[in-house]
Amino acid sequence: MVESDADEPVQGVGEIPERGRVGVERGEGTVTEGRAEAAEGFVEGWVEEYGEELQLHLDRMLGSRTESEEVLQEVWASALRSPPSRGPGSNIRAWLYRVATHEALDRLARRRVHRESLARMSPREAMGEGPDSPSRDSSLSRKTRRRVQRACAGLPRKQREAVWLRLVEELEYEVVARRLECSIESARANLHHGLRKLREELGDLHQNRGEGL
Amino acid sequence: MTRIAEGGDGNAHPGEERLAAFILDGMMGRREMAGNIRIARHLARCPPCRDRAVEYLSLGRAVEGLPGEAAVRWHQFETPFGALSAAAGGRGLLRLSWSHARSGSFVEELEDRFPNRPVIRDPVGLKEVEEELFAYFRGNLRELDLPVDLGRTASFQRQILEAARKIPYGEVWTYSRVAREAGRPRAARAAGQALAGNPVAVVVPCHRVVRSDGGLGGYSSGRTELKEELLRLEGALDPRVG
Repeated sequence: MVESDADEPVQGVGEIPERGRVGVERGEGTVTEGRAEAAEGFVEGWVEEYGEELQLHLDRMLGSRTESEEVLQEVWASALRSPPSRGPGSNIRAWLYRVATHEALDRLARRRVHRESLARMSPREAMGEGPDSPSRDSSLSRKTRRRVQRACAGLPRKQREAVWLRLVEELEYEVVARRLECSIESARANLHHGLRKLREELGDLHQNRGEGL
Repeated sequence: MTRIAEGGDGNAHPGEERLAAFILDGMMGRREMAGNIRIARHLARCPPCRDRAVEYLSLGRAVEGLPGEAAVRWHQFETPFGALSAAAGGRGLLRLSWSHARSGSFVEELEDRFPNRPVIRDPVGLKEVEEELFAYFRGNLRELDLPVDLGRTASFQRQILEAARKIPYGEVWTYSRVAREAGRPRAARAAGQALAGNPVAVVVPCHRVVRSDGGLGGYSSGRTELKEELLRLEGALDPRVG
């Protein structure tokens, strides 16, 4: 378990921590089975190298060993399903942290919703006889979608376009900047300002996930 | 990195922008940065930041879950006849207008017309529209095969506009003929008004509708000279009135 990277630099040429860098492709077959086997080989190595620190990270995030173990299994499953790039400059450790953290935050979001919806439920519903608890994959309720859409529509033009192009269309910042005819920094700033406004307007959204979020 | 305060464990809280970027970029599987590990570890130790992160995640997923076709996309391009502004939604063209020399006024109009839909500039998505219209303006294309969404027009106006779409290239019809084709034979004057409010100029060829006395009748923003030019382009200036 290593705790000493608090000051590690943001990734750049020559600044990647050695233990997180995988510079050489190895063992990739040309058929699906071969690739799957190769991915299993890599993941085995990552489990050994990063498993313990990720487990501790998830313990802290979730405060529950049972849940953190489940989440960690999801992380390895993600790595097997769609392995991260292992080319030069890739940062496997950061990828694992990112996936683990997002899975944990998702759990926290659902846990919070569950707690809040339990508080709103009748005792009968709370015993499991009511509507299903919200799931991560449930689509937005029509009402919520309209509300989010309206909030996006109400943003100032550049912020609205930055939010839409980046989040809905998932374009890279470079492309967003070209579309907005501005610099990448300005595109980022517009996205951020737009999000801040959305957060102000839709701040209670996470509490409404039980209504279809 | 913007730092707003020191956390209890001595680690700086990530700035709002950095935290949002970590959550949203991470959600989309973007570039992995070692600095993100620092934020991830901070989140593990700092409940208030974790709460903010959960909020950003919910917000990001909500926006991400919106259908792309919910947006109204617009583009403005030059033609041999002046600037043409186009807007489309998921079902087709919503607006094609000669009336906006400035894109700003067009966007304002769209924002007023579609207050619940994000209005997004999209020259790439509307490239096909631009190219097809350009071929038409150069005389290389007679049939415009562009889907049109008239869903927001009143039913009478829609009937008239749909009838007008049937006027072949190079022909002109009178307002009465259009009214007749729409199944409203006594509504020639109302047909004229419906055509005056045509939201999709050129593709719904209201320029092919003329008065029964042979006069050209009106056109977009009073630009009858443009109507004349379009009819000349189509070889219909000496109209065979229907």
